[in-house]
Amino acid sequence: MPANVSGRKCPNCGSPLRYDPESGRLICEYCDSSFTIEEVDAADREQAQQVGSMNFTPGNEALQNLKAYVCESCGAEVVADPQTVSLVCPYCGSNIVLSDKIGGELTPDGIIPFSITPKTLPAAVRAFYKGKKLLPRSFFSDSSIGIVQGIYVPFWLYDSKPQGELVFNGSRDRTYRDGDYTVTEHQNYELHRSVSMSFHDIPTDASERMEDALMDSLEPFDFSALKAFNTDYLAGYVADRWDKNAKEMKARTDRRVYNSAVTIAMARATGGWSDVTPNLKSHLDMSDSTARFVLLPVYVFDIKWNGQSYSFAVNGQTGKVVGTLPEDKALKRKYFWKWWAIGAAAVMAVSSLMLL
Amino acid sequence: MKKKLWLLLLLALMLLMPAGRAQAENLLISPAPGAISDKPDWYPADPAGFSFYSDPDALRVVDRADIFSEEEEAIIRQAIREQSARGNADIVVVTDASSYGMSHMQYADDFYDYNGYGFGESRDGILLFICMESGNRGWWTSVTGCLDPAVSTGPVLYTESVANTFDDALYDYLVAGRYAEGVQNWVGNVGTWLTYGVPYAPLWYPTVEEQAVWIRQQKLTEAPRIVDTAGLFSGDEAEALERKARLLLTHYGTDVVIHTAKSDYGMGREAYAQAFYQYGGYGLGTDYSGVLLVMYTDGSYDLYTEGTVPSCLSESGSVTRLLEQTADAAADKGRKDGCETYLNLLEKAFKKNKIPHSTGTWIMSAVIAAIAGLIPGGISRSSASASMKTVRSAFDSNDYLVEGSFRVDGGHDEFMGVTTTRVYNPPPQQKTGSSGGGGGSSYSSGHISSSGSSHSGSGRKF
Repeated sequence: MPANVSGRKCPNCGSPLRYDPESGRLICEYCDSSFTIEEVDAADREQAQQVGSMNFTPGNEALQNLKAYVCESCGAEVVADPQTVSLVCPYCGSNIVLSDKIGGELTPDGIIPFSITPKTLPAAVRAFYKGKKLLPRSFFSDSSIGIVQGIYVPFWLYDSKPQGELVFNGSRDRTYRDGDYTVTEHQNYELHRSVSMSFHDIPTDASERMEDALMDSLEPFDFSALKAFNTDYLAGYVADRWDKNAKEMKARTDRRVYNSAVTIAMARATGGWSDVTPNLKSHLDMSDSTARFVLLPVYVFDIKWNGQSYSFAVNGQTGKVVGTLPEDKALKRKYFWKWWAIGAAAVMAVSSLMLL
Repeated sequence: MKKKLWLLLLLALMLLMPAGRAQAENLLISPAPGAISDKPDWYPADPAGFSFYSDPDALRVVDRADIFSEEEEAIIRQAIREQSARGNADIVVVTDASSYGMSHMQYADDFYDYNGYGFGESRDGILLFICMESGNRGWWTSVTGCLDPAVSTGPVLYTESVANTFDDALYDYLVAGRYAEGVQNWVGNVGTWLTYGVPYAPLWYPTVEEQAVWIRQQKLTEAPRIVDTAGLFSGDEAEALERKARLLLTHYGTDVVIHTAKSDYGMGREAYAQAFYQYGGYGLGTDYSGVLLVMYTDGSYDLYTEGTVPSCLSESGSVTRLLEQTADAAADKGRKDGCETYLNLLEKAFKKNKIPHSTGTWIMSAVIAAIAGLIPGGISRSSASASMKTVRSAFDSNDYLVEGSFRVDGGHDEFMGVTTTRVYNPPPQQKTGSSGGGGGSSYSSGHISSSGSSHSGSGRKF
């Protein structure tokens, strides 16, 4: 059974089209044409009526967990892992969307298209380096950015309505005189608060191969820019389908919700009390929760330096760069002693002014 | 008429019999006829109609609590006679086993007013009342007339400082049950106070009369500038210091005096130094410029300056440094070296108007600076290190809270327990004027007694 594969072609010259994040249009780099998604859809429907389907057909299925697809443009056979739903033909650069992997519960409920282009990334990374006092000097000259991959990462967006009783420890002080003594009574209480609240669109990445902390660090995304899913947004990018289901990832989201509920209730519902701390007797029902599946734009790349590889990610919507940079230990020591010297000199200067 | 004669005869017999003397003395001071029952027998029946009178023959020691032997009483009476003649003010001691519901202050004031005490029109005098009532033991000293700071500006005033000096001394005796000794000592102190204006006085201190006619005169510059009253220096040491002090005196035109003393005679350090400097005739020039260091045997020091001296010697910080370095050197190397350090520092003050800090202070400052530097060093390193790591797991979801969705649907507070802290912190008014044992003196100035006259005084429990 052939797998359904779709690639978008220029209605004018038949060359592969690429999605341009800046204009939000499909671009043909061969004949310099550009089209809206709706225009290409209309041209495709017209062409289909004339020449029939142009689907890819699956090739060799012998390799375990891999599927082979034949590129419609150049006829080359390409292989994709089970999570990949969109890729670029390594031979002719055609955009290939593996339509057979998108359907039913695997169909995204929305997508935030890429807003920034790969060509802006070097500048963004350079800006990211700014203020990094401990970055080795040679990192600027000797490091190299590896292949930048634009990926639509699968995320679950949770809506959660926790409710229940949160318990805090709190105290009140009463001071009075008893003869020649000042008496302070420290009265300890348990503060029970029945609370409810709603959270909307808490993102949790649904991809096994993406590091959770790295994806968390890319927040925030502007979910008002979510669009209805259309495979045309995938053109030119790699896209994954989810491989960690919503139920599995809910526990992680619930931890965030619980922490927020405690923090918010402590700030807003325990006024007038001192030394307020959370109590483990709290119970919060977080079963009222729904999730929807979306694709969010992320650039990933490695920076190689000194024989080591450092992973970075960029929010494809906002341009926020995250990653862990190497520290120069000598610089770290120097930095410490520099500020020690400044601090000590300042204190000594004040002392001298007072002593002289 | 016959009845009166019999009464006089009976009284004469009682006076002749030793056992009956105390009772007779009580009768002598008590206007017994018509006395009201809840008041002592000496209290007038009609206080409103009472007129002050002077009774030079009234007893000056009235031991109603019977805490003195006859011999002790005679000694105290003799001491009072001498001291009141010397000081020209009445001195009275009364003891009682009850205060009759009155405060010690009221008892003392009223006893003085209603029994004809006091010299002259203003009824100058001082009375000590010792109350031996169980659970209410204490004393009150009441002063009247020219001794009362509320109505007088004379040279001998019962100020709070004087009161504390008297009461501190008396407390130790009374609490030990040495009543007669304590009262004798008190009478002696009162005599000194009436004579010199201070409770204790050194030999060189002028009397009140001498102070009134005293004209300040400068001592000859050849006179010793090291006055070792406490005997802390050997002859050679005193000579060496004398040479150095005289060099400074000659070179800078400012007197330099060092005086050693065993105490300040209860005058207070500043008053003692000033009195020593001024009555001693020290100071150069028309404004009596000079610097006096008083070195006490307990290791404390005091600096007194007068006239034109470097301004640094008027700054408390500089003076503290000067005295601390002097004390440190004296503690480390001996008092003579301490004085040499003082004279060296004084020379720097004359030259540069500055008292330098000790090497130890500079080293301590450098150590503190080095330790303090660790704080910005550590903070900046941690901050720089944290900026290198931008990958962090999300902790909460505060940014995704739907606005206005947070609701508190109910709640209650459960009391779990109480911890109590008690800190001893007596009210400020109880601290005022207190010193020494017995919870400190209560001092009162210018209160009006039942008879309408003004008194000041102080007292304590024991």
